[in-house]
Amino acid sequence: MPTFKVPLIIRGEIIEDYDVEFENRGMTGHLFSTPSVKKYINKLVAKSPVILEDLYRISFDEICDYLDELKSRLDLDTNVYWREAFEVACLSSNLSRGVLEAIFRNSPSALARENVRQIAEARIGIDYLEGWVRTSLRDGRAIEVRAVGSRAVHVIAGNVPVVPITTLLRNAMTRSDAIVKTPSNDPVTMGAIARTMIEMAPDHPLTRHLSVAYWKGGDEEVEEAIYRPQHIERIVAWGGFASIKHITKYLQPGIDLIPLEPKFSTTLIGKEALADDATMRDVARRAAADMGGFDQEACSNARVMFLESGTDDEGIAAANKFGQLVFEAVQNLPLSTSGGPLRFDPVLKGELESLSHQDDFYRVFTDWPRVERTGAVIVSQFPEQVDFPGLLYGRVANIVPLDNIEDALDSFSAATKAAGVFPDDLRTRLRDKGALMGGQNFIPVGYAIVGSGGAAPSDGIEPERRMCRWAVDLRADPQVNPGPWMHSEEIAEILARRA
Amino acid sequence: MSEALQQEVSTQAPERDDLSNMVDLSSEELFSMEKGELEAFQLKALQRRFGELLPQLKSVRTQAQIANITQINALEDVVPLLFSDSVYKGYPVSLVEKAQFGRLTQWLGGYTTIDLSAADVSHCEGVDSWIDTLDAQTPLRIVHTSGTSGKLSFFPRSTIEIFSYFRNYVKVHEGFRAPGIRLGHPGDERLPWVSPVPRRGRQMRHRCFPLMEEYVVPSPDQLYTLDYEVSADLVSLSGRIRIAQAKGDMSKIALSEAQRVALLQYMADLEKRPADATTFYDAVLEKLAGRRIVAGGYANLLQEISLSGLAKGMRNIFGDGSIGQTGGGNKEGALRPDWLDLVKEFTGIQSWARNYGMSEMVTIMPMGDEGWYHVPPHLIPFLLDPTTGAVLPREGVVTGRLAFYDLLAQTNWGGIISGDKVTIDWDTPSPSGRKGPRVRADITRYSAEVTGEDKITCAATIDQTDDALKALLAAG
Repeated sequence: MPTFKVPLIIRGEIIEDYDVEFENRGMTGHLFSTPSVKKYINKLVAKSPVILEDLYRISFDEICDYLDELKSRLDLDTNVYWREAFEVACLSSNLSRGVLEAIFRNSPSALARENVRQIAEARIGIDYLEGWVRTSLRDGRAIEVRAVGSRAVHVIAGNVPVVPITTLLRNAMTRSDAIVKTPSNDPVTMGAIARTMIEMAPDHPLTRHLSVAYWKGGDEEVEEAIYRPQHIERIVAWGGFASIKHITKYLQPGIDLIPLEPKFSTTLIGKEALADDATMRDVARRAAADMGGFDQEACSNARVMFLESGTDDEGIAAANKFGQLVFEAVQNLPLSTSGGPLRFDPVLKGELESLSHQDDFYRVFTDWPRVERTGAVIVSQFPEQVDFPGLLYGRVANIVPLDNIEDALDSFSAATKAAGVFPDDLRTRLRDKGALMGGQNFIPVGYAIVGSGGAAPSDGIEPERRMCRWAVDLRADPQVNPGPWMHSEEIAEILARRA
Repeated sequence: MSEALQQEVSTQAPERDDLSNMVDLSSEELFSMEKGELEAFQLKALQRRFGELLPQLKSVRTQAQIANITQINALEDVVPLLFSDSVYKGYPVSLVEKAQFGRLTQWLGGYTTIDLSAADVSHCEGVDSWIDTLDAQTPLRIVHTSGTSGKLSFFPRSTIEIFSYFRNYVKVHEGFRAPGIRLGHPGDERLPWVSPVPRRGRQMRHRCFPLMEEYVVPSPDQLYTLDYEVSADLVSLSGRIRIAQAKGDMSKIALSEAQRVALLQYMADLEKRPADATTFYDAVLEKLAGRRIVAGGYANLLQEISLSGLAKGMRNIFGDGSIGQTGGGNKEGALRPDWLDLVKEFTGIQSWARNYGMSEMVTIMPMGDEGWYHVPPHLIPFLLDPTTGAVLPREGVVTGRLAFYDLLAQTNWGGIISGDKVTIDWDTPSPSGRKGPRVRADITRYSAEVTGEDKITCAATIDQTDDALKALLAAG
């Protein structure tokens, strides 16, 4: 029997004709029912980009007002939709309740007027969103540029429920039309926001340009009907290699993919961290937040952490001590930052057990009877990471001792999202090479899950700018700018006049 | 036991003990125990194995420490001590990549009672030579897996387990309360054996071939196999390439000139193998047409061979009274519903025995007439909840992840959690009269189902059209 219902929302209309059932990936055996998207494809797709016109009858200030008001309404204590999304997330997400509560209470603040202005200004430039921005060329012509919205499908991720707010913000700020395809591990949060918007302002253009649908990722009948250049201009896809690879088959001229692929983050800790006991404990606390925050479900979490401890006996002993301190610090993180995962990957548990058999190569710091809650810190006893970095979830990190911290850059790739670095001057020293090697976001150790709050590029790209279509209006005056229809004497005359 | 084997075992390996020798009991003896009697026997045997192996195996001591278990009072007590199937590939892969085989030997030493401390592997350059060196210097007989994860598992078997496996493997033709054919013992009938699989290598089936030469076929030249070697080095390299291709990142793969040449050869071999398997039968038939033989091989391979043989008008090629055995081969639904009929028509063999086993297991479970695999008393099965790992009730008909303690493992720990999704009928009497738990034939793998959509799934083979791979393989 379905455990909960997920309405289909199409541009302000709530459709509750529940006739298909899906399994929620997080909740073992739990089902949810939702209307069949197939039946509503015609309604779901926007047949012409002209539908975006109503968004151009409102000002950026009005957009800010709307989002600010929405922020106040996304209140866990008074909003039944938001509360329901939270309760479902407590069952379906792998985040602990304390962390989820903090996310549901704090994430709407991204919609605050001043924050929206800051992000829009930093990421695109409000002038470009509000009108045509003129640049004079040296020959007397001018270009005027405007960022206009697009029709986009957002295939969002469900691991941390801040993605719906980010998606809404990007859509509103760029005056776009969004069809959000929700993930099976969080099919409700985006819908809760949409329902709040409908209740708040049913006819507002921002309300009328958000649709929320669930279909099983890879359902070709649905996807082939939606992913057509006459229906959309952009696909913003979060997700694994396989799902993004799958989407690429729908790409053709007229549809751009904005890939927010899976990323891994790391930590580089210089030898300065081991200078004395107090510094060691302090850095361990900060590293613990990078590793354990959001219960290590986010792509910004540290998983493999490099430590410039040296690799002789003394260095390994220091790395082991640091590992023990990080493990203890993870247990002492505030519950709003980390409480331990709900489900622990049994494959990872098997790997941890097998590592524990081989103390020549690895030391595992954990509380074995409670390992599925406490997580673990694996300290390599030689300068190499474990062979399963992709399994490091559930508050499990691998500390790798190095003689020279710069060697850590060898592990960077296009999938390296955040690199927490200690101390700050090491970051300044490493960032040029680190960026070339694929590093996308260099941060002080301890601030991984905080990030930039949307003010910085993401994943090495600028999704907000790419969501826009950049229209150009070229200005030229035949009295000043010679044209190709003119003969040489006419051109000479114009140039003489200009001189 | 032959003199040669007797000598090898007694000078280097410990003696086969009574639990290992259970493979020689008759099917009637093995499958006649009542549930209470069976479990009492298994508990006693398990306690004995735990007592024998705990002091000798560092890995089991650590596992017992982690699980805080000092003694076994009930069968279920062993569950926290079962190894994850990742244990035998838990070594750092860089030991192989950097040819640090001394350290790899030291790692494996934690999992076997065979003393490896005197083995000299300093000259080894690859996995094949490492395994061969340990074969030559010790009774250890490593069995490696096919490495779909890109990293090989190394099961630390010894001559004892290989021998038990072999006896168990050919035992499938013995009848239960009905006449059958006993193979593999001195004095047993000897028959030519036809199996289109590579002859040389370091996997379980290759380990059995010398024993078949000695105990099953009339003379060594009557063991008909494919003239290939399965190289562990190439299997693992191709596994790594496959994973890199699946992840879309070939940039970290680098090939030495020797690897490049070997890999090209390997891929060429893979391509012509199906054709070779067919011509193999043409050649075999020149010598064996109409004779009584034993046929073996993976089900999908037999299906392909039969299809092409039948297309050429070949049918009923072997003599009356021939027998066959097969298993596996339906990983990607490759088998047609009528595959066995095709195989019967082509070979003329009506009696096909089926086995269920895996690299993780020494025991083999024979399929009974009614289509279920029977669990012999020397295997203690458990079913676990696939997500929580909790033990499911050992009664009724239950589906779960198969875990087991294998009492035939005498020199290494027999407890493993497998990746197989299995349904066991714990109590209902089998129509054939065999007692004990039985496993339904529809066995699948859990991996994809449990770990979710976005994990990498490995296609069976390297994508040879991949441009990055072509660039790597290009001469230069």
